[in-house]
Amino acid sequence: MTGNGNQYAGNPFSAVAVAITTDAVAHHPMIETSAVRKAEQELRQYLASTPLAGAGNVIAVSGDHGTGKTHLGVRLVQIAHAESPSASAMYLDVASDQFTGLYRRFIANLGREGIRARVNDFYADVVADSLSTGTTVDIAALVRNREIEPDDVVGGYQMMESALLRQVTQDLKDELSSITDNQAYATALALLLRPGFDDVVWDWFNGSAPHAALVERGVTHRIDDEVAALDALGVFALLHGRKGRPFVLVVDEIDKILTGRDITTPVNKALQRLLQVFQAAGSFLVLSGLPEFRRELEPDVAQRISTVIPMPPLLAGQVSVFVDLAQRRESDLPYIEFPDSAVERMVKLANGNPRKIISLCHALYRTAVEQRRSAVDTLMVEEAMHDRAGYVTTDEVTAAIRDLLVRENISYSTDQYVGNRDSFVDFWIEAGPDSGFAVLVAESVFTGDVDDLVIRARAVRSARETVEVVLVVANVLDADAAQQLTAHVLDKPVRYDPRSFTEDFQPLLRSLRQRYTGSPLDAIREWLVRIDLANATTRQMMEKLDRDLSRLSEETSNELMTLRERTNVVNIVTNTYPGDDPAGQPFPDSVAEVFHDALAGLDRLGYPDTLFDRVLGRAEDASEHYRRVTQMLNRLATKGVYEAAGTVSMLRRWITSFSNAAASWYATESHAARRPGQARSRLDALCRTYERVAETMPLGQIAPLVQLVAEGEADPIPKQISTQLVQRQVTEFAEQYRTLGGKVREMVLAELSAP
Amino acid sequence: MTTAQRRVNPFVIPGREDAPRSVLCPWREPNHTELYVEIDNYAPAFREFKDQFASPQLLKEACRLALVGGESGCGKSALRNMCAHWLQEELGKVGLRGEIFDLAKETDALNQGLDSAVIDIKARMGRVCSSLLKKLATGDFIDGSVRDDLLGTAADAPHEVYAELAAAMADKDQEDVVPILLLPATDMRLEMERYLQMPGSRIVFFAEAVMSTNELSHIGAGQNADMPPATVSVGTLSPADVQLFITTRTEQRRKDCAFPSLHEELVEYLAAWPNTTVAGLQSHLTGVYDHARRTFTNYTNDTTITKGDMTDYTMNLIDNLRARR
Repeated sequence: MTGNGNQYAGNPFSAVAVAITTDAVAHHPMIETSAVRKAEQELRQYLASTPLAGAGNVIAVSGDHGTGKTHLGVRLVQIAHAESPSASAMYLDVASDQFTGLYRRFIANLGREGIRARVNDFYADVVADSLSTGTTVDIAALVRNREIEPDDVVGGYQMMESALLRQVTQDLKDELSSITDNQAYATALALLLRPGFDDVVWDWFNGSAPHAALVERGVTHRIDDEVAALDALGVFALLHGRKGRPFVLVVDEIDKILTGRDITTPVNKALQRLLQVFQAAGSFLVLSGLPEFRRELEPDVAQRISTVIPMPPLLAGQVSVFVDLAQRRESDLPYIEFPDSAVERMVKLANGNPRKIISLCHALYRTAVEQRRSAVDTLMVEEAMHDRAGYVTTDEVTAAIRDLLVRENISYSTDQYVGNRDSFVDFWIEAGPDSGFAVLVAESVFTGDVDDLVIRARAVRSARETVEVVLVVANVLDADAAQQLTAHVLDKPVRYDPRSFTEDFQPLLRSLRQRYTGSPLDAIREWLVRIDLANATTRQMMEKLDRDLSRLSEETSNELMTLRERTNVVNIVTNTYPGDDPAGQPFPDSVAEVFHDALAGLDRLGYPDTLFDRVLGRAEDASEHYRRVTQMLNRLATKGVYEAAGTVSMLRRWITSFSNAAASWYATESHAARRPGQARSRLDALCRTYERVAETMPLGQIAPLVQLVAEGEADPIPKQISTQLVQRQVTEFAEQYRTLGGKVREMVLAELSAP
Repeated sequence: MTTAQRRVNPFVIPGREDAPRSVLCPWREPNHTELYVEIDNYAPAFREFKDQFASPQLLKEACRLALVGGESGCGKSALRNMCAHWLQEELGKVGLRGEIFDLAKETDALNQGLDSAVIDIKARMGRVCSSLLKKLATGDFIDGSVRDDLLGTAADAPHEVYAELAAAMADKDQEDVVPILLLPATDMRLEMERYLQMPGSRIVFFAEAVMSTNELSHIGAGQNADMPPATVSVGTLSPADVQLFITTRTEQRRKDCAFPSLHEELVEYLAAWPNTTVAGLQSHLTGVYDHARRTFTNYTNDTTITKGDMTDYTMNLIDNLRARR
C-alpha cells in the first residue's frame, strides 16, 4: 500500500460511472474492448486518409445501457480534435424523440459564427476565382488559403460584391442540389454574408417562421418538421465536409428517435439522404444507441451503415487491466488488490456491464479501505452487489404484485403452505380443481441459494396435479443460479424491475382469465417466452416519457434558469460565506444544478402544496369535488404521512447542508484540488460523509406522503394513484438522493479538469 | 500642415478629399459635370437615358420609373446623379421644375435607428414615402396638414399617397413641380415593379437596381404600365476604358495641380485587372497616389509612379488585411 495508509481519502473509481460529455472524460481510463479498438481503428483510418468525395463513412455502435457507448462516442470526438490540424468533430446526445430536436442541438453546437465561417469558405473560393487570372493570381492564392478574408479584399479593392455574392448563392445551390431541391438553404446561407441579415437567417435556421425579407427572397418554409430538419442537417454536414476537410459527428442515444414510434416514409427517405450526404461529403458519422435502433431502420437506410460495432460485455481480464490502470492513475491513494476470483465474480454478477462493474469497484474499494483490507474477495463482491441493487425489499415486490392482482380482479391468497412444510408460496392463485399458479418472491438469489429454492419449487409443484411456479427476485439474480433454476420454475426467474414490473406482469395475469376457455398455464408459458420483448417495449415506453421530459426541459430552459436563480442553492453558491475568501471560486452551474435537481425532485414528491391550496380554495364548496378531496384526506392523512413529512424535511436539510459545505469547499479549496492531494481528499471525505448519512435515511417511509401529493395533484380532481407508481417514484428519488455524493464529486472534478 | 496634405491626389474628387469614396454628383455640385469621363462604360447608357426621356412633358400625365442597373462598383450612382441632373434641366425646358429628393439612405438601419437591420419591401416603401412627405412639407411643397393626413397612409398604402401628391402640391401652388426621387438601391425585382405600377402623375422614381443587364430587361415584362421603365445599365471597364479614364482624369487635374504621372507599365497592369469596375479602378488609383504622397521625396509632375510602387502599395494593403484577420 502507498499514500494515506488505510484512511479513506478518495476513490479511483467513479461512483455513478456515467460518462460525462465534456473534455474532462479524456482523463478517465477507457476499458479497451474489441469494440473500442474497432471504433478507434475505423476513425483513425478515416482521419489518416485524405477524405475525398464519396469516401465518407457511417458506422453504428449498439449496446445496452451502461455498456460504454457514450464514453466511446466522446472518446472518438477527442481523437478527432487531437489530430493536427484539429479535425472538426461534434458529439450530440439525443434529448428528444424527433429529428427536429437533434437538428436544433446540432445547429446550436455549430453556432452562428461556425456556420458563417463555412459560408465564408464559399465566398473565399468565389473571390479567389475572380482574381485567378492576370495580375491578381497571388492575391487569389492568399484569399483561397484564407490568409486574408474575402470581404476585406472585396472592400479593399472595390470589387463587384453583388455579382460575387450572387455567384456564392449559385454555387451553394449547385452544391446542395444533391441533398435538396429546396433552394432556400442556399439563399439563406448566402444572405449571411450580407450585412444585417444575420439575425433573421439565424432565427430561420433555428426553426422560426421566415422573416418577410426572407420570404421575398424565396425562403418560405420553416425548418420545423423532421424531413426539413434532416435536410438541414445534411446541408450543414455537406458544408463542413467540403474540400476534403474531415468532419466527425457522433449522435448518441439515436434509439430515442428511432424506436417507440412509427417513422413515416418521407422521414426514412430523408434519413437515407442524410447518410448518403455523409458518405458523399467524406464525413464520418457515428450512430450510437440501444441495439433495437438498428431493427427500426429501413433496409435502404441500414445498408448505408458500413460497420456495426456491438458493445460486448466486459471480460474478467479486461476488468482486471482497467482496475489496475485506474488505481495507478491515482497513485497517492491506497492500492487495493482485486484478485481474479473477485473480478470474475463481479463480472458474472454484473453481466459484464461496464457501468455496474465500475460502480461496484467504487463500493468495493471504499469498503476495503475503510475495513483496512488490502484486497477484496468474492464475498465482498456479493455483499456489495446486494447492497447496490437498489435496496428493493420483498415487501415492495409483494405490494407490487398485490396491486396488480387487485387491478386485474384476480382472486388470490398469500403467505401460505400449499402442501408440505417446504411449500410456502407468497401468492397462490387457483386455476382449477387440480391446478394453480404460485408466485415465490426472493430477496436475492446466488448459487448458494439454489438448492433451497429447488426444494421449495418442487414442494409447491407436487401440491397439485398442475402447478406453475414463477420466481420473482427483488435484487440480485446470479446468472448461474438463474440457469440452474430454469428447469424448476416457469421459463426462468424474473428479476424485479420497478420501472417495468407492471407492464411485465399484467399480460401474464390477464392470461389467467382464459383459464376456463383454454389452458391458462399454456397462456402463461407463452407469455413468459415473450417477456424479453415486453421488457424492451416497456423500456421504450419509459424512455418515451423521459424524452418528453427532456424536450420540455429544453423548451423551458430559460424558465428553469429563472427558477434556479431563485433557489437557495444558487443563492448559496454564488454568494460568499462568512470567513471565506471573497475572491473564492464561484460554484459551477453544472454542480449547482445537480443540487437543484435533487431539491426540486424532493419538493415535487414531498410537498402537497397544490392539494392544500385546492382544498382551501374550495372550503365552502359542498360539491362532489370537495367530498372526494375530503375522503382522500381522511384515507391518506395518517400517521405515516406525518412521519414521512418529518423525513422529507430532514432530507431537505441534509441536501442543503451538503450543498453549503460543497460550495464552501469549492470557494476555498477547488484551486488546490486540481491535482490529487489534501484538498481533493477533503472533497472525498465530504461526499462520503453525505453518502453515509444518506444511506441511513429511511427513504421508504416517504411513500405515504408521495402518494398524498401525487393524488392531490391529479387534475382536474384528485384520483387514486397506484402503489406501484408511487413506489417507482420513491425508488427513483432514492437512487438520485443516494448517488448525489458521487455525482457531485465527479462533476466537481470534471469542472476542475476542464481546460 | 503635413507634406501629404499639400500633395494632391488627382483621383479624389476636388473638395471631397476627406471622403475619397464619394461619387460624382452634379445635381448637388454642378462643377462635377466636367469630371465625368466619356468611357464606354456609361457614355452610351447616358445617351440611352436621354433618348428614353425625350418627352419629359409627359410627366404631367403620369409617373415614371427610371432604373440604372449594374453590379456594385460599376458606377450606377454616378450615372444616376448625372441622369437626374440632366432630367432636372430638361424639365425646366418644358415648363416643369424638377426637384431632386435623395431618399437613398432612408432605409439604412443605422440611419433610422431601427431595431432590425433588415426590412421587407412594404416597410422599405413605406419609409421612403414617409420621408418624402416630411421633406415635401419642410420644403413647402405641400401643406403641413396634408403631410400629417398622409403620413398615416404612407406605411400601409404608399400608392394612395403618390396618387394624391400632384394635387397636394397644386394646392400649395406647386403644380409645376416634378419630384425626382432617388430611391434606395435594391436587388428586388418586385420592389421595382411596384414602383412601376404607382398611380398619380409628376413623379420620377429613380432607383439603382443591383442586378445584371439581363435581369433588368425583365422588369415590367407583362405589366401594363402607362410608360415603360427607363432602364439603362453599366458594367465593367474594358482596358481601353481604363486607359481613357486615367488619361482624362489626369489631364483634368493637371491644369491646376502638380502630381506624378503613372508609368505606362503600371497603366497596362491596371488595365489587366480582371472584371475592373470604375470604383475598383478609382480605389487602386487613389490608393497608389496616397502611397506616393506619403513616400515620395519628390511629388511633382516630373516624377513617375511605377509598377514597383503599386506592388509596395498592394503589399502594404495585404499586410493590413492579414493583420486584421
